[in-house]
Amino acid sequence: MKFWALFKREWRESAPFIVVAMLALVVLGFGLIRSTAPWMAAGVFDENNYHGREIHTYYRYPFGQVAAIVWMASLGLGLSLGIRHFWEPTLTKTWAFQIHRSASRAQILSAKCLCAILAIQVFLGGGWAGVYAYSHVIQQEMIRPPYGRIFIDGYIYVSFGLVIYLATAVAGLMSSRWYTTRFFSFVWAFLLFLYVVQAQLVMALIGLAAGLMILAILLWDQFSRQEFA
Amino acid sequence: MKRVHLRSPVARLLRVFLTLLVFLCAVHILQAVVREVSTSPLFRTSVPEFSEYTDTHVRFLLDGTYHTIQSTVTRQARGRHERYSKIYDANDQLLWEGLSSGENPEKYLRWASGGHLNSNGRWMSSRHAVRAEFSQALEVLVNTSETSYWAWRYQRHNRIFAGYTMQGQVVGYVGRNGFVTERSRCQPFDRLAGFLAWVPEGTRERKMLWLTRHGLYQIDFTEQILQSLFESPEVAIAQVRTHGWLSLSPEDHDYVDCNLYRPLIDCETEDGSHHLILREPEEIKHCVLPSVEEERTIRQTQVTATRKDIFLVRHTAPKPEPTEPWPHPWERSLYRLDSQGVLQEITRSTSSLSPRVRMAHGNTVFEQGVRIVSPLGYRVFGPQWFLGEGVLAAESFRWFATVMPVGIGPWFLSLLCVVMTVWHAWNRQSSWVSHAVWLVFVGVFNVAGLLTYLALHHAVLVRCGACGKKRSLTRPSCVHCAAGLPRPQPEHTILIPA
Repeated sequence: MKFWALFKREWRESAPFIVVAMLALVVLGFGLIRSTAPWMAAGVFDENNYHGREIHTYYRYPFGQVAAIVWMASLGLGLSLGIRHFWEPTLTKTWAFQIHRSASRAQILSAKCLCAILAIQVFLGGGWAGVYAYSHVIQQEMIRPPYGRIFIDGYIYVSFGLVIYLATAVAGLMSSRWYTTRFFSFVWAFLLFLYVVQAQLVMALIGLAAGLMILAILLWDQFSRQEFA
Repeated sequence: MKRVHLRSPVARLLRVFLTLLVFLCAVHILQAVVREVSTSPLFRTSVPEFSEYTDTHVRFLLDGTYHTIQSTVTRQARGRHERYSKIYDANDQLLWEGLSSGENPEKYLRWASGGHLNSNGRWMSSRHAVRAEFSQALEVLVNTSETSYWAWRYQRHNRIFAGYTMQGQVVGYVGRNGFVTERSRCQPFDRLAGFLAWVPEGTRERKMLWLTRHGLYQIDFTEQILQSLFESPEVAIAQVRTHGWLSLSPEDHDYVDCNLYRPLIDCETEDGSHHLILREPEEIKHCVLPSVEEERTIRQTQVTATRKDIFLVRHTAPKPEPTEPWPHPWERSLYRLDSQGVLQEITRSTSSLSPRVRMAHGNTVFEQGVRIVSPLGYRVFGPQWFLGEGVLAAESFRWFATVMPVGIGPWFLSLLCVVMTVWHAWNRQSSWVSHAVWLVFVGVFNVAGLLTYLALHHAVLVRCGACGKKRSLTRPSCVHCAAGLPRPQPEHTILIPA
C-alpha cells in the first residue's frame, strides 16, 4: 500500500515530462515520415539513374531522421526523470523528508525506478510503436512486409533512456564533488551509447543489458549507503 | 544480510571498472589528439626531404610486349608534385616523353579488379548494425510496370532472398537451388563473402553477383534465373575479380571496352589456383601459377582477357620485405595462358626505384611518445585479442595497434606510477593485501591505473595526535602507532538556561 502511494506520487510528478517526450516523438516522427515517404516512393521508380551502373541495394525506409528523434526523446526523458527523482531532493535538501518515514528504502527506490521503467519502456516505447506502425500505413504506395528489425533498433534506443536515468541517479546520489568522479556514470553511459550505435544486434543487446545491470547495482549500493542524505 | 555483504564488494569492483574505463578513454583521447597534432606541418617529419626522385616501372601492352616508363617526380611549391615521364620500348628506344598529366599516347593492359564485390560483404555487416539511423535491409527492387515493383529482400539469418509484391505478398524465394515458390524447397546459400548488384547497359535487368565461401552465383532478379558460375566445395574462394563482366555504361568509372577485352571473372581459391570464367564464348579455364623462389613472396596477381589472349601478371617482392625505400622494388612476371591451358612466361621485369625517404604521416617522436602512457596490460590483451573475429566492434579497436606499449618507456612510466602509489598509500592504506593489489593494478594499467587509484582513494590527511605523523581520516586507527582519532576533552557541564 505504501509502495503504491509512493509510486503514485512519483508518477504524478513525472507525468509532464512523459507527456512532453511522447508528444515530441509522436508528432515529429509522424510529420517526418509523412513528408519523407512520398519523396522516397518517387525515387524507387526513377530508372534512368541506374542503367549501366552498380545499383544501391540497401533500402533505408523513411526512418533516417526519425532515429535521431527516438534517441533524443528517450535520452531527454531519462535525463529529466533522473534529475526529477534524484537531483531535486539533493538540491532542495528534502532527502531526509523522503527517507525518514515508515516506507523502507527499497520501496522508495523501487517506486522511483518502476515509474521510470513504465514511462520509458511502456509509454515512450508505445509511442515508438505507433510511429513505426504509422510508417506502414502512410507507405501504401511502397509497402512491403514490415522490416521488424527497425522496430527492435528503435526499441533499443528507447531503452537507452533507462541507462541515462540510472546514470543520472548514480551521479545524483554520489557525495563526491561535481568536478571529480561524480559524473563518471554519465561518461560511462556515453561510451556505452557510442558502442551500441555501431554494434551488431546481439552485442548491442548484451551491452545494453550489461550497462543497465552495472548502473542498477551501483544505484542500489549508493542508495543503501545513505551518504547522500 | 548476505545480500548486503555481497552487494558492497560487487559495487566496489564495478566502480573500479567504470572509473578505469573512463580514464582509459581519457588517455586514449589524449593520445589521439597528440598523434593528430603531430601530423600538422609544424611537427611533421620532413627531413630528409626529397626534391626529386626517379622511378622506373613496366607496363604491358595488349600484345604482351612491354614499355618501360621512367618517371621523374619533382617537388613544386606548396607541396605539389610534377611527374615527367619518358616511355621506352623493349629495345630501349624512346617513344614518348612529357608531363604525365598531359596526353599519354599508349594503351596498356587493364586488369580485373575486385571492386566492391569483395568489400560489400564486410559493408553488409556494418549496415546491419544498430546504426544511428537504424539498420538497413539488403533489397533488390524489380519494376514489374511503371507503377509497381517486386522487392527481393535478403533474409540474413535464413541466408535466402524472399520476394514480395507491393502489397506484401510473397512471390518466391531464391536460394542455392534457384528461384522457388515454396520456402521449404529453398536451399540456403553458404556464408556470404561478397556481392555486387548492377543494371547492364541498355537493359532493365537487375543482376547480382553473389559470392559465398565456396561458390559464386549470378542472380537475374528480372528473369528469375540463378546461374551457378563457380563452385569449389573443397577449397574456399579467397578472392574474386571481374573485368568487363558487368557491361557498364561508358560513362562509368569501371567501364571496360568489350571490343578489346572479353568479359572475365577470376576466382582465386585459397590454394592459389585461378579459375577463369569467360564469356563470348562461354568457357571456364583453370590454371596455377608456378611457385616462386624461396626468398621471394607473392604480393599480387592480376588477370585479364583480351579478344586474343589471356594474361596473368604476378608481382613478387623480396622476403622479408624491406621497409625502405618505399614502395618496394617489385618484380613482375607476365604469363600467357595458351589454348591448352598451359601458362607460358613471356617476360619478367623489375621496377627500379631511386632511394628516397617516405613522407612520414606524423612525427615519429610523437608516435613513440604516445605509446609510453599505454597500459602494459595491452601486451597481454591486445590488439590481437580485441581484433579477433566477432569480438566487439573490431574496426573501432584497430586503434590499439597504434598505441601498443613498445620499448622501455612504458615500463619506466609504470614503475614511476607504482612508486607514486606507494608514496600516496603510505599513510592511507587500509590493509597490506589491498595495498599490494592496487600496486599490481597500477603497474598493469600505467597512468590510467594511477588516476583510477587516486580517484577512488581520496582521503584527507591529518597529523596524528599521538605520534605526530600523518594519518588518514578514513581509518579509525593510526597506521603508525594504532592510536584512535582524537576526541574532544571532557569539559565541565554546560547548562543551557531556559
